[in-house]
Amino acid sequence: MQSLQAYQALLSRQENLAKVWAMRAIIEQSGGRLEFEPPTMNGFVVVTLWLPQHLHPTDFLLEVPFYPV
Amino acid sequence: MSWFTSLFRRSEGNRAAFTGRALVSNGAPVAMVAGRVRARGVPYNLPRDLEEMNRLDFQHYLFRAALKGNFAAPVTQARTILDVGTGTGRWAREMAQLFPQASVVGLDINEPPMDTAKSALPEPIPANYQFQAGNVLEGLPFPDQAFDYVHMRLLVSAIPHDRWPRVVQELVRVTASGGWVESVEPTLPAEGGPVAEQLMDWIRAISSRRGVVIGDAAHVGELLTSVGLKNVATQTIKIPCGAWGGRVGKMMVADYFAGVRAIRGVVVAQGLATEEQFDATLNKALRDIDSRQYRCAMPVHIAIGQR
Repeated sequence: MQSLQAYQALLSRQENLAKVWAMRAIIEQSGGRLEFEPPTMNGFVVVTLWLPQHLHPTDFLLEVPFYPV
Repeated sequence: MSWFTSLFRRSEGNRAAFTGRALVSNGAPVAMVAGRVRARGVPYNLPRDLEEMNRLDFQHYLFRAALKGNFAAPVTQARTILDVGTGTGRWAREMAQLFPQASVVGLDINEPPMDTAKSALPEPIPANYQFQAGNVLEGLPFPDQAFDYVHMRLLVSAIPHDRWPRVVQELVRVTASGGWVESVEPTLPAEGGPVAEQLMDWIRAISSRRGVVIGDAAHVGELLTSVGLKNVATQTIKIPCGAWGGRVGKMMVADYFAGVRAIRGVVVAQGLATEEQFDATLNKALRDIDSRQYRCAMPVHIAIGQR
């Protein structure tokens, strides 16, 4: 099993969450994985994205502020 | 049922993805990581606990003293003011008092503790100040040209290198025509000697792992120019760090090294040093800086521009 690099983003805008959600199938087909945590009372959602080492979040989601953790 | 609700139903069973137990503090996701409460989902390495809030308030007074005021842009008649990354909200509330005719908004991912304990405050919160939750990294939750003056300070360790252009574009987008954008960001203290430089190397390393380049602080003026602002001006002020700098120098040591202590657990967790190595290096660096052998100073880069 290939090792995955984790990235996170803190999102509250519906349009950004929708962009991430829309890419879910493509990310999984590429060997990656997405997790969404329940929103906080301020409406923030921690999104974690795991990708194979040769991929980067900007390959899928240019606008979403993922950073490596 | 909205797609959003559906999303979480389908994600049931997800687990917290990052080290540390997931918690929520003042509406923002946090976790206990390396012994301190830290924000999750953002690249900021410093804690978000009461101890850090006290340090940030102290830092506010330090900056106000060292920079001889709260702002550099020529704003006299601002009606709407935005503070991005407001932290404890101290700067924004002082601006609300200074500009009583203005509406002042402080934006951050979680509400300052003072705002959630208003009844316990020894000081009133100005009626023209309000907090807005938001993450500048995903865009500002305001319409175009909503503010006459947009201020951002001490966010360099929260903004990854590749996000700076977008962040500056957002600052400019919400600034009214004729309004001002101001950025105040430090780079790492320098000339503190080789032991202090080791501490700075660790800070660079933990920042770099999250895509953050502290040196970006020195280039905000260029970004303001690149997005078409007028009357861009930059200035770098070196705040002394050490006894050689008198009262401000001593305040700077207290502030900066409290911040360095706050990232100790992260440095250790990332295997860059043991606790003993970190403590020994920190103590030696403090002795060096207090010895007057070195003239350590932290450059603070101020950039303003008019839309």
